[in-house]
This record gives sequence, C-alpha cells and structure tokens, in this order.
Amino acid sequence: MKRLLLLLALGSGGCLEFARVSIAIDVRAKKMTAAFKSITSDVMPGDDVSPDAHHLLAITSDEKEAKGLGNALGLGEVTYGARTVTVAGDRLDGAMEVAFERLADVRVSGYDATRPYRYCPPSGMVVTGANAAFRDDRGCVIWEDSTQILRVDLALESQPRGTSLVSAWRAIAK
Amino acid sequence: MMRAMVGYRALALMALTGCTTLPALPPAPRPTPPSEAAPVDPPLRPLLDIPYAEARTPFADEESLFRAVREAFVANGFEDAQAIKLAFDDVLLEPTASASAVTTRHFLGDGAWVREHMSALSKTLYQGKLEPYFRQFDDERQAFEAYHTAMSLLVAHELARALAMARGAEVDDERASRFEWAVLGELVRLGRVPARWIELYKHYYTVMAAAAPAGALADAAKFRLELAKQPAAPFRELVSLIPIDSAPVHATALRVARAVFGDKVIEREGLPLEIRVERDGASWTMVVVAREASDGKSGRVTLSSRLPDLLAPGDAGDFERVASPLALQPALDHLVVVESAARHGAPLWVELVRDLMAAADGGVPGLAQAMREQTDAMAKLRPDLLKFPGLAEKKR
Repeated sequence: MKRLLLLLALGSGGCLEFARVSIAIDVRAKKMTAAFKSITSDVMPGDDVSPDAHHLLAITSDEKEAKGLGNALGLGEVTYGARTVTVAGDRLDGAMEVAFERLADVRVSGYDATRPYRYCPPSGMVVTGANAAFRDDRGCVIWEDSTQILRVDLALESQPRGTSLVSAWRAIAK
Repeated sequence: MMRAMVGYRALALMALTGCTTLPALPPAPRPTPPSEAAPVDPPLRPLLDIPYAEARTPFADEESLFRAVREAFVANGFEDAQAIKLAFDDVLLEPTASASAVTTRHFLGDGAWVREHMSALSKTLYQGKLEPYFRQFDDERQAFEAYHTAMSLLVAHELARALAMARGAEVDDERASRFEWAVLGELVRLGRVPARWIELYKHYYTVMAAAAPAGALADAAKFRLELAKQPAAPFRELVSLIPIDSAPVHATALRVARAVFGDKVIEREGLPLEIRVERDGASWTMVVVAREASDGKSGRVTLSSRLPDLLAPGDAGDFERVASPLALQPALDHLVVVESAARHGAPLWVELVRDLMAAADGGVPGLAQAMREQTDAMAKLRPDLLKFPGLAEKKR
C-alpha cells in the first residue's frame, strides 16, 4: 500500500499504510491469511483522515477494494474471503483471507527439485522473518518440501508516516 | 451388607470414571513424537538467521526445464505463454533449427539414431567440424550442463516463436535469439540455473561459429556470440519483440487513448490500435497510436521515460499528449504494467501510475524516490493530466 495508493485519494485524503504484515500460506489447503499490523494514514498529522477510514471500511465490505489491497501484496487471481479490522489499543490491525488455485498467485514459485517453495516479497516490501529453510540474495525465502504452512513477516522498505486512524475508525465503524 | 456396599461403591466409581469391564488389551504404543506424527512446520525466525541457499538441483527433466522457461515468460508478463504447447519431439528432431538440441543429445549418447542424425547434420551443415567439439564432452556432468543450457535456450527460442505466431505475427531468428539470451539471463537471475551456464553458452557458439561454413548458420552463431558479449538484457526489454496486440492490451490501450483523447477515439474492426516501444539511447517511450473517428487522423498517447516530454510535448502528431513523465528503467515495464492494469480491470490511470511506482520500487536504487518527486511535480505542473475517468470514481 504505502505510497502506492497516493493517487487514489488526491485532494480527498491520503493513503492507507501498514507498517508490517504477516502472511501464512497453507500450500495444501490453498489458503492464505494476511495479518496487517498498525494500519495508518499517510496524511500529515492534524489533517482529515476520515476518507481513509471510509476507504478502510470499504475494503472490508467491497471485494473490488479488497482486490486493491491484494494487488498491493502482489497477489494474482485469488478469491477474497473475510476482511476484518480490529482496534488493538492505540492502533488498528486488520486481517484478510484468500483462497487460491495456483501458488504463483500468492507469489510462491519453485526453487529446485527438492525445495518446491520460494516466496519473493512484493515491490516496496522486505522479508523480515520467515519459517523458511533458506534465503537467497534477492531477499526471497525458500522452504523444504516438508513444510505445509509458509509463514513470512513483511515490512515496508520505507518508514510509514503513521497518522492514526483509530478515532476516525471508531466514529464510522460503530 | 458391607461387601454389597463396597460392590455398589465400586460400581458407582466405575460408572463415574467411565470404566467398564473389558478384555485384556495389549499395551498402548508409546506416543509418537510430533515430528514423526506429521510434518511440523519450522518456527518463524528473523531473516538474518536463515542461511543462504547453497547447492541447487539441476532440472530433473525436460518438462521441468520447459516449465521453468515458460514460468519465466509468464512472470515477465507473457501470460499467454501458459497456453503454448511445445512438442518436445518435434522441437528436438526438427533438422536444422534444432541442431543444437540434437547436438547436445548426442553428448548424452541418446541412441544410435540420434548420433547418426547428428553426424549427418555435422557433415551437411558443419562440414564435419563438430566432431572435435563432441569429444570435449567426455565428462557426463559437463554433457548434462551443456544439454540443459542448449535445451533452455532452444525452448526459449521456440516459445518466443510460438507466442508470436499465437499473436498473429512472426518473430525472426535474430529476435528469437535475443529471447534465448535473455531467458538464460533470467533463469540465472531467478537462481534456476548456475551462472556458469553463460560460459557454456559462449563456448558452445564459439565452436559453432568456427565450425559452420560461411552463411546463415555461421551468421547465426556469430550473432549469438555478439549477444553473449553483452550482459543479458532484462527479459522485459524484449517485450517489444513480440507484438503486444493481445486483447487485454488492446482494450487497455483503447481506454488509455479514450482517457486522453475522449470519445473521438473509436475501435474499428480490423484496425487495431498500434502499440509500440521506441528507444532513443537510454530513453524509452511507449506509444499508443489511435485513430480519430471523424477524419481518420491518427493521434498518439505517449508513456515516456523522459521528463522534458511532460513540459514540452513533442511534434509527433496533432493529438499527442504525454501521459506519463515517469522515469522508469527499464521503461518497458510500461507494457507489462498496461497488461497488468487490463487484467485487474482497475481504473486505468491510477493503476498505471501505481504500478509504475511499484515497478520502480523494485528496480534501480533511488529510482522510486525520483519517480515520486516527478509525480509530485506532475501533480503541480499538469494537474489536468490527473483528471482522468477512473480517478474521479475513487474520490469520496
């Protein structure tokens, strides 16, 4: 997301950002969950964040908006499941479920004959942790065949501005 | 009475604990440790604690190699490569274009008939000069490596041709050879083949160039050697070598043109929009040529990598508008982006800019920042460029 959504809201707000996202890809059940930590807006502190809060609400209810979020994660043709937003103290967290047919649609490709899973982060994000066996020099992570659930922690390459959406969210999500 | 009471209490206790009178059972086996009961996923740990991948297993067979090459095409925006079927036997045995593969099969001792075939090819095409080259490959490992190298290149060559044909066009040998070289670079970049395969490629064509008589074969080998003197071009730069008039791209291009020119742009049967990429030194430009409904004059939409174009549109046509000033290297990502926007069906302009920025984020260091600055500059200098249909839909 970060600045990728810059033009979505020119003149009417900012962009939604998230600092970190943890994904879990079940290669056999063909399901993926993404847990977004600390969803914020990139507007200047003091500016109106309500458009971004409404955008966030739309993501939870509108599949088209969810697809935008999926695009930010570099997802391909997937089926979007539930999207939720929760208030966790002074921050907003979110979760999204997707189902997929092809691993390539969740950015998983093969590595070699014995290591069939490799995940490469989408543009603008870096892998900060994984339950993988190896990594390569491109920042991708690689699993052995025996792993069923591929877990990856991702963070934005650049620091998000991090203007809180909690108050605005509470106002609209009652 | 006491015995009866004890019996009663014992029965009650048995009832409470679910006990019952059962025949003697064998002792239960020891609980299976979790690691044996089912695969246990490894724990999450910081990236830096994860070791680098080391040895890579070569492709297990031709099919896995073919898949890898095809995946490289698909991952670089050639989605229709997924539907291309190549018959390996046809590819391998086609007498001239596939001489390389037959040659490498010879290294593997893949049947007397292949050796006979190769021997005939060597005599007829290379005047028997390849025999010394064959003898260099006594080592089985080297032979396998040479085989896989030639196979991956052959598949890339044939896949590029098949893709172009599926799109209703021809790709000549020179263009297909560029694909070979780029695919090799891409496979190395993806870690699917070791970098030393590039040396095999050079060696292979050095021998071929020396052995081939003057003419097309020698020229082809020399051309490949010239290619090999350069770093393998980024795969996506070769997008322009295959016509990009597939339906989704065409539809997107039409939307681009309408966004810029308005409803004057029409889509005519048999007169598709023309999309091409022009290169001028380090600068890349994607041009979409549309036709105007009333008088048939053509107009152009330019997605340019040159910032000056934003401020001083060129003189290429009456309708020329610069749709993007974004510096992008390699700028041919534009085309992939257009395809991506079409696939996702999102508001075009927003998607274009967003994807361009994403592409830059994954590219040259510092480029993303430069693009953001240019985007900001664009918003200030040419706000009209941002007033496209689609963007308005997003405003709340």
